[in-house]
Amino acid sequence: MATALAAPVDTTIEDPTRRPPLVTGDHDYQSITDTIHSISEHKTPRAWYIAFAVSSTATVTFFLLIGYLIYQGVGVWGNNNPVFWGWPIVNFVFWVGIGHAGTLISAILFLFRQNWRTSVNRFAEAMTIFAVVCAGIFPGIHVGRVWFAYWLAPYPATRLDMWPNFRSPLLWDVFAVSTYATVSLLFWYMGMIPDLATFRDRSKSKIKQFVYGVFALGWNGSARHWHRYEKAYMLLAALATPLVLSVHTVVSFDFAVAQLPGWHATIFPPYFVAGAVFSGFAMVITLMVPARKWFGLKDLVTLRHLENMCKVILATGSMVGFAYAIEFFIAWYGGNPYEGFAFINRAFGPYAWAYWTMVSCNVIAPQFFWIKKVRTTPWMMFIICIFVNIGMWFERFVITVTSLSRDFLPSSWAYFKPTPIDMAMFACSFGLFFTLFLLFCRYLPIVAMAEVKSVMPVPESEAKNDAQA
Amino acid sequence: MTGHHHDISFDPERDRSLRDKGAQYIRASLITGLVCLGLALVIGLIAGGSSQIDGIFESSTAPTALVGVVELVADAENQDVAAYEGRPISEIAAVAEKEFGEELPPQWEEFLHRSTGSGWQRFQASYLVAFTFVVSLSLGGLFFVLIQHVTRAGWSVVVRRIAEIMAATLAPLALLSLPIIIPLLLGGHALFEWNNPQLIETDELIRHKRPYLNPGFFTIRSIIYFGVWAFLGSFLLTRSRAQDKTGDVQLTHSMQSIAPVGLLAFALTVNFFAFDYLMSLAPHWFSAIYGVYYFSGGVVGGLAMMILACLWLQREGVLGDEVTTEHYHDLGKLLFGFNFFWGYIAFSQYLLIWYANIPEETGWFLIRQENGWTAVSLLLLFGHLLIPFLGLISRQSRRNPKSLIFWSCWLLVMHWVDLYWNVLPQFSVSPWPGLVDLLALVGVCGVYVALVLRTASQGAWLPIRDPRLNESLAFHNV
Amino acid sequence: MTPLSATLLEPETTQQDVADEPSGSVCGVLAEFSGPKELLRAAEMVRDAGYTKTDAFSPFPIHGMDDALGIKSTILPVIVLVVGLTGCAGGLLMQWWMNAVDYPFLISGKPLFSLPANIPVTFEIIVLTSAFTAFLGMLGLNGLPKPANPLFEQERFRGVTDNKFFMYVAADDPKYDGQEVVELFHRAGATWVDDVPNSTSPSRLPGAIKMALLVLFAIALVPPLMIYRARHTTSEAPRFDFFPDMDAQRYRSAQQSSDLFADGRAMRPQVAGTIAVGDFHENDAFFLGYIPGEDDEAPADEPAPADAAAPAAGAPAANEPDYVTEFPVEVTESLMQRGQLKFNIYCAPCHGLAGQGDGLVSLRAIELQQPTWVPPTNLTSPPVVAQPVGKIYDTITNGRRKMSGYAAQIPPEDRWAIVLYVRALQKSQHASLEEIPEDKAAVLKNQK
Repeated sequence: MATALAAPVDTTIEDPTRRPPLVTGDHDYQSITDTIHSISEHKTPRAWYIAFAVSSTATVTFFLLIGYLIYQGVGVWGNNNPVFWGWPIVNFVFWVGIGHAGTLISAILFLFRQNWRTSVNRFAEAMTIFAVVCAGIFPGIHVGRVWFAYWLAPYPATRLDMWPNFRSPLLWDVFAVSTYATVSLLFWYMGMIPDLATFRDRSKSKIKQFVYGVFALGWNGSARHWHRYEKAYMLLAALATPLVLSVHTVVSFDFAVAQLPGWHATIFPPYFVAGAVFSGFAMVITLMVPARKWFGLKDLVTLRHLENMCKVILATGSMVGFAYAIEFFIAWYGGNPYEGFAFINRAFGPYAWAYWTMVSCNVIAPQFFWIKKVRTTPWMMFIICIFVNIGMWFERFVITVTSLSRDFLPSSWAYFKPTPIDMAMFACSFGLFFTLFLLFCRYLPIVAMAEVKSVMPVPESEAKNDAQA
Repeated sequence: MTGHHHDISFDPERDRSLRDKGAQYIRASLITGLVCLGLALVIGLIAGGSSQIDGIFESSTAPTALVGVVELVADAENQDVAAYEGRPISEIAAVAEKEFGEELPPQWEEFLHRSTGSGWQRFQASYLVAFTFVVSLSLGGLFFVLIQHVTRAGWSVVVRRIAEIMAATLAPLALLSLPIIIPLLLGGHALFEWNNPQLIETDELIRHKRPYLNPGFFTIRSIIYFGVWAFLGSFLLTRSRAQDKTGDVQLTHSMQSIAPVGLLAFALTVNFFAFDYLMSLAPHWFSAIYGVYYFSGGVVGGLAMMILACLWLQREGVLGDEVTTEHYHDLGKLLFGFNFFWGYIAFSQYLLIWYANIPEETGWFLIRQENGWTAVSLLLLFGHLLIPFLGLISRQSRRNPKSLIFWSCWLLVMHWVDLYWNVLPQFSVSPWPGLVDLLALVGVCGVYVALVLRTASQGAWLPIRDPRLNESLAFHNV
Repeated sequence: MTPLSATLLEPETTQQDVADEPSGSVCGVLAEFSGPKELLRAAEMVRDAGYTKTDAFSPFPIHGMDDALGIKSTILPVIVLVVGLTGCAGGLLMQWWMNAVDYPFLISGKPLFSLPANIPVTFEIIVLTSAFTAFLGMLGLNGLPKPANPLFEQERFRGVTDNKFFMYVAADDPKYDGQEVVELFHRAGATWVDDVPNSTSPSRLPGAIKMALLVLFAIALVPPLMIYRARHTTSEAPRFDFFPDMDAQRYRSAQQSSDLFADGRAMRPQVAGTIAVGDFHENDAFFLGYIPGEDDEAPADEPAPADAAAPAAGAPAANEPDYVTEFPVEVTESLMQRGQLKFNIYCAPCHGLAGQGDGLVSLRAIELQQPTWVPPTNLTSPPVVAQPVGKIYDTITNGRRKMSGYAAQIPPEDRWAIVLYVRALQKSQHASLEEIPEDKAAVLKNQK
């Protein structure tokens, strides 16, 4: 039974002698279950319906646009000589990058025993899955003859009589992103099994009991099962950690293995991974700040949780800024005039507007998180994180488009302009993301209840029993 | 974190320093160190190094430039290249001079005698390897301390003092940079060919980099690096030591406040240190990730050294059972993880340069595939990455002291091999370490150990009144 | 019964009840505890009492429960490692066979089996196979999915996923004795103890579902059988092609035969005088730069072969075609600008930006002492100034001496633009100050 009577504890106070409680507000195990289960048990709030209507309209538009694209051809986009990689690739890298935060929170923070992750990991993992879905669509549709996309898989093809080219980073992408989608899904689902069991046992309607029951696989909280479950969880975490590094590394290889000035820098792999975590955490905060308010999660996702995430954003943002500085230095140091030109062109050429947007959003915006007030005030974080995501989209845009539009041969230089289809598709991909996300919020356990229960301070009722026994 | 709470009886008043033995160890390692260094210098000067012209021609391992010239000579003498197999290169060079004389490019002479004009160069190279090796260990320690403060970690308190001491050793380590800097300021270019006036005149790229790669600016930057590290190291150590006496929580706050800024400064200084001291050895080459590469190797080395130091201190009776299997487990996990990270960075660097195949970048890797250097490259791949990966992957191996000793020593050796592989191919055709290398290593390490012990002086090897000490003592891995 | 903590005891659990149950219909005894610590203690007591077929149930994993129950460490990590390594070998083998053996193809000179380039895919396969094994292995070792569990028929047990903690001893444990177990639980401090009857719901699949599954299975066999039949029989019918993409068309291709024509070829020779669309160039002055006479060769269609240029260009003035002297296009400022642009792209490399024969290519060739290099003409020299515009146009089109023709690269309009610009360059070297507009002359005068 949650009692909101106790004065709210400020968990952001730094006190080296005590660890702040990870769950505030005098919760016990049952109130945790109540808090989370009530979200899907209560009558659907009107706001949800409105939001869902908007996002599903956008989703339908998205699929209509894709149909139009397949029917008309890739010419409906702005991609053209010499900028053959335009918005679709930028969108792909943007969405894949956002997905990385979920895996980092689930897997890497788990390995580092950061117990505060338990309140946000389910939410973030769901965000990862949906972001990867959005991400995977773009390379799929940009190939032109989408119905042949299966040629990318190494199956014995009688028509083609040949195999995929395993030496190409684009094929590495296929393997990396599909592995990432699969493993993230497995990890997310496996984490949900105990919570789905909770939903199964608490649901009132027979249909819900049945559906949750099927997906809960008969979970009963047996300690013997928990033992293997924890082992599997740790194994998946240990596997997901190098996986998440490898996915955005492989995406960075798409660019860095080329000989194009501005693309071929050896620092791309860790720089892209840091950037991905940066944008991913920003998206988590963007979603979590309103969600914790609307779903009554303030005791589970405390200000300290948010503050920790802001610190990660500050750290990874600094890594991104560091990579910018090193790239710039090497462009000069290497003495390659094309490389040097590529960087001057970024800052002062026709795309300078994109470059300076990127710098102000990526380097300057997160610096506000040095101020304690900013990183403990939700609405401030929300605004800054939106800027961060804008900046990260522009970073991929700057990398992709400026280097292509001004490469080695001046006679092939041209200015890339996106078409309305480009922009509409990107905007509507958010529709798909939010549709899936709203469904998740409505029907699935949005906080990992079992994990939170294992790290929360021992509830008073149990403490009393301790004293008596 | 709920879990087992051991009943640790912790006595803050127990003496956790090396007492008199400390002074003995300092003396012994300092003397060993200096003697070995002296011997290394002498042997280096006497023996000289190996250069291309001393070798025998073997087409499978010879550099492409040499093969090209041999093909020309073979053409001129109407013979097959295979006829020159096993012939001394000096002989072939003489024929080439006779037949082609001026047509040979100006770099031919340089190429033949590359690697040494002198043993002094060889000694400097070996010294540089050893120097960057010990600096990287201390940098690993500094990184560990900074990260523990930034993450407000509790488990690591009992082992943090060791890292703090290693980090604070960076201040006196600045002195060890003098044998590199002073010859540079005096105009020497045995080590750094970008200081060679002849090359500056003829080589456009080196001229282009001159504003950055010149002795004056190089020295100023070195002062900045060591200054920043010395400041950070001593800041953290002095405050941590002050806390031994008072237990003042405010000191933890001040260490925690400086840590994030410290990390930023750390990143920049370590990166450019690696660029200056290691990457500029090949002034035509560049790799943006090189600083991260050096950093990752340093963290591995630093962690390995911390593990060995903890075990040794426990054997000496300085540290008791405060450092438990759980702490070693965590250090082992970090060692495993960062070693994998090193492998990832090394592989990324290699793959990108191999894939794009741009000659100005591949040259650096090419000389590490010729003249037998392939063996060292493969040794790094298997010995630094694959074998320790499999060796440290199991939970048991990270909790067993003997296993940890073995793998820590192994990784320290491999880290040295990594730096050796980074430096020596510019200077030596033959891949095998000579007496100079080993003596230089033992020498510098001896001095380093002496400096570490001296930095530790009479202080405790454990932060006895850290506010999070109890958490650390009770720490239990899941 | 031994005294216990001051909490409720359900009335059903009396000694009498437990003793009366026939042992076959009970599958075990279940007890509830108030919290994780109590459950841990109870588990230790149960383990110490020698029971092995036991289990503890909790909403979250309890630290230390593995030892308390005596659970041996699972073999799952080993299975995952083995499968992962197999995946690694498999991935490498797959790439080697597919790219280096079965259909080898070179990609930018990389080795057929390029280990660095094959690592990313191998790594992903390792992770994928290991992850699947971890997940499926966990489920398999746990016996999940388990659709039915007698424990769930206890209403109270449903709280196990919320906030309740239970301990269980199975009836088929060798040391099992209903009475003793109940007493043990009470000693351990249970708040509720009950025995768990065997599940009364049927464990056999209903006949209807069995039939349905059989039918489904039979239907599922059909596609593979069809495929098998298709692969092992021959057929005259063409293949199914779901996306024909205009692959097979009924028109005759160039090299095919046709019985419509006497010579049996589908290809027909062109009728004399056929010109491709857009190739009819009436305006000789514009397209050729000269007016061809009767004794000249037939006007060549665009593009003119290069060797035809040699006799035309090498011949001295006697045999020269009738070059036009006036521009066949309107001379405008924009044409001049275009001429400058195109001249700088195409002509300046050899002839130099000022047309004086000092282009970079020429300078380089001279620097390298190329013995066969003929320096490009200085376009501002008097002989070239004297040439009619048509001759300059012809040079651009067909080349002259060592210069090859640019007909393929530069369309005729642009060629005339270049000629115009060349005239401007020539003028620039032979102009006088009076010919320059006032304002520009002033600028020049002020320059030193």
